[in-house]
Amino acid sequence: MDKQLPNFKHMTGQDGKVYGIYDTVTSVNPYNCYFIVKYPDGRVIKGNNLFDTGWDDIPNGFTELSYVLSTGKIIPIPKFKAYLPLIECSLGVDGSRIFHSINVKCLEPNSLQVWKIILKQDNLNTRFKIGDVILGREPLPKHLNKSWKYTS
Amino acid sequence: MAVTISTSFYEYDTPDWHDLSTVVFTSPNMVSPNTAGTRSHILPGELPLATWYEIVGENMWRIYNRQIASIESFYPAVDPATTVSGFDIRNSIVFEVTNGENYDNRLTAWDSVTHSSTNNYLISTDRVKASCANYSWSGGTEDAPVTVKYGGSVDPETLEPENPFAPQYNITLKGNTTISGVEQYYGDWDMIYSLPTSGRQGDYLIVRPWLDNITASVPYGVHDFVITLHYSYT
Repeated sequence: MDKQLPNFKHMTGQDGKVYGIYDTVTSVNPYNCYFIVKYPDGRVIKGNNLFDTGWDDIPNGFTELSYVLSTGKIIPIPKFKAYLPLIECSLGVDGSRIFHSINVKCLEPNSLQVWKIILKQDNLNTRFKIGDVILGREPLPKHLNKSWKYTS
Repeated sequence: MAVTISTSFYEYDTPDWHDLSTVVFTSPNMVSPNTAGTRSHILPGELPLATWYEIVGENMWRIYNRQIASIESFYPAVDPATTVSGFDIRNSIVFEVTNGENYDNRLTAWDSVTHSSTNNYLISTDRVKASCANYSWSGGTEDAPVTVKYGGSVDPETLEPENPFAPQYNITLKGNTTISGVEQYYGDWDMIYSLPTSGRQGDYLIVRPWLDNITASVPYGVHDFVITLHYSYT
């Protein structure tokens, strides 16, 4: 994935600004957001960033999953049978890019619980802030693809 | 896994593919190609606008001379009641997944690079339109997607059942809005890259953007907006 962000200004270690005509968006710094998984034998694997997360490369069998945002906030995800974290973003034909959320789909016996971690906030829609978590529920998918990772 | 998506358009007179930087609707009364960023003053309703596609810092090409194109056999028709023949690379933008896979794709338009507001005259008055189709191909020959991606024209309907999501014509693009049950975007569907040698190629999204009802009622000024592809990946 192209890691250029032509629409971001004043990028710091914590966040970056995107200036629109009527709106200003504050976003996490996507280069500094990653997951951490811990295994029963003490191993810890840290993900990369929001462009290339590294999720598909980790083995099954971990016991803990958490997300670290560039703001420093750590969001632990409760233990479920399996997880599928999806990065939700939008790409403009002009190359502009906004990271909206990380949607962690968590497998339960009869449904999915979805942990939606907010990655941006703006001055028009002030309902949610960076780091907020919105819980939702979805029906079980027909198939669990190879990107699903199982806990120990 | 991470996904890579290219966005390109085809310049027909001096045939070549270019990476797209922006879509411009301005006067047809300039030579093509022209320097990227060139704009011509034109009063709303005075002349039909032309559609130009532009590369960062280089050239822009006039893709089509008018906003209203209901008679060309290979162009998505403006009148929803008109029979639609299909898409043509000469008027369209192609999104191509070149690595990985992405889910819940949605094509829409926002007011600016914040991708967060529809506070824009053209968007809020339902003037931003597009015809869209996504497709892949496993028909036993590699010619069909090549036709779409590299040279000719084809009705995406004929590519079924490889179409994971039905084509839509002349839809309004307005953020994530749904009005009276009608979605103001094209989506949601998944795209997966597959090697051309696998017998299945893709996935692609082909889009023809246009503006509706640019009459004297449109206020004078610049009405920039951004067409975006919204998606998820691991």
